[in-house]
Amino acid sequence: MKKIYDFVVVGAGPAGLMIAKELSAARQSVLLVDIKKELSKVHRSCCTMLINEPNTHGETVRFVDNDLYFEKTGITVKYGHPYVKLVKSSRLSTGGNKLTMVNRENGVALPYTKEIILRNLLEESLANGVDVLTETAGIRAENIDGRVKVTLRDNHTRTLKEVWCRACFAADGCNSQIVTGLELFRTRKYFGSYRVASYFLDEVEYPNWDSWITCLGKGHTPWGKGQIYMVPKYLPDAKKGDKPILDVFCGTPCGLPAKMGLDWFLTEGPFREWFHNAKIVHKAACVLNFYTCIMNPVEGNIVVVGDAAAFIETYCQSALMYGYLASQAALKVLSTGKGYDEYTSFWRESFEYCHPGEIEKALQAFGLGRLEDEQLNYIFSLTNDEEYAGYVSENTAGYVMQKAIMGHIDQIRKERPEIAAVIEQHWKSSAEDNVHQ
Amino acid sequence: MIVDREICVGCGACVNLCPRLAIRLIDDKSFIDQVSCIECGTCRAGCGVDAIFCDCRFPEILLLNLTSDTYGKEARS
Repeated sequence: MKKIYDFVVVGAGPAGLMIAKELSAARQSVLLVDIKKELSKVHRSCCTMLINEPNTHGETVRFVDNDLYFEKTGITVKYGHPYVKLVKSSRLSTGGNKLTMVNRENGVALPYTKEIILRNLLEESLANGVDVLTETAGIRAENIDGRVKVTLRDNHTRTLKEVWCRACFAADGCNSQIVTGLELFRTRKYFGSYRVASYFLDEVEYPNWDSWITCLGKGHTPWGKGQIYMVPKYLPDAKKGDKPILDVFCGTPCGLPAKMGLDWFLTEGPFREWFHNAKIVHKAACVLNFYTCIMNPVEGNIVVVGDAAAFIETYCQSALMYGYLASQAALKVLSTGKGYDEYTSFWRESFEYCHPGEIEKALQAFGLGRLEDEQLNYIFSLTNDEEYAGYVSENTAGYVMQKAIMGHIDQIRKERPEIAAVIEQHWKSSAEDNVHQ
Repeated sequence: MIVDREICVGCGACVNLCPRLAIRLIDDKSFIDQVSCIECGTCRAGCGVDAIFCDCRFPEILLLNLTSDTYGKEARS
């Protein structure tokens, strides 16, 4: 390890690895730092789905020859591993009734294996000559006299090291340590924290292999709070012809134990018979701090990329894209002295949650949790046999659900006026928010 | 706070939560530096798999404070 680098990248996730790969390909000296020992292993809960809805975060991504192809940016990221094509996205009530969104042609989302993407990017970065420091935490980055001093800490010895660079990239995820030390952190608003636990389950007797499932209702967890999600995906060592495994997530507000909720769902929940013989092949967890986006993700020569600057997450695919664009901006700055403005304005335009009102809208999609299980069962019994065009998407799925349920509102008004009142109240408040924009 | 390394999945959530920077990943499992830890419980509230528990050292110290009566002794003498 040297004392001075052109660039230091903190965090070896999709964004960090993409930056390291691109900058090293342009013959810059790059140091990549991560707290993990094995960089490509994924211990954090992550759906890792290709959100194939056109114009997600200003970009359309699809699989071409088993690689990820970004239409507008024009880049290709190596994959070459099986992926799942989900054609349905369902909201499931405790009674087993559903509201289903379908896209048979392109799929509603394509779950892939993150580990493969990371492994490929890491290989390319190492081949380009990136210096990698594993088991090292990026503690702080400071702008000093036009350069950046990055403080690193070795996990084993706990000793601090200093590295100097022209520019530092904070790509250390949604709980970024680097960002908390920056001035721009003061501009963020904190909403709350969420903790997540997930199991990869094999040998599940599961009827929904073609669906992304979101469990709605209070009876899925012992406390009536939190969400359960289910998504089939392939393990990193899967071969052609292998069956996918099922990734089951439980997310709860901080303070409630996610793992307890997940264990309860698998052993005592309304769908426990699916998991009688299930074997856990992998466990993951994470904590999510909900902050508003960083509107101006560049402070001096420190660039905040990917989840570190986002509300919740940018998805794996957009982390790759923002990583690529940030690295191109940094190269432009090297040659012309300017370039980050373009990246900042693209970030503001393309990342939906930077727009006023979007966060409130997304949070309101959770509002149906106000209904009791029996009421949700009733509503979903009306939509059970229907299919609505849609995708797995935070930004548009809420609207599709609203249209689907409002399509039955006359019947609900007649049969269960008390439910109609709650629903109308819920969507009315969202309509008002839309007016405010 | 103490980590049960058998349960820990090494997601690293607690590392960046710790207000004292007392937590590190060693061999991809969480490790809490007992000298830096102030038993605030932030990490435990964030852990997705409940791998962190409190083996609190403070009650013993508290108990010592409650039972020892150095001032009383001085006052009596």
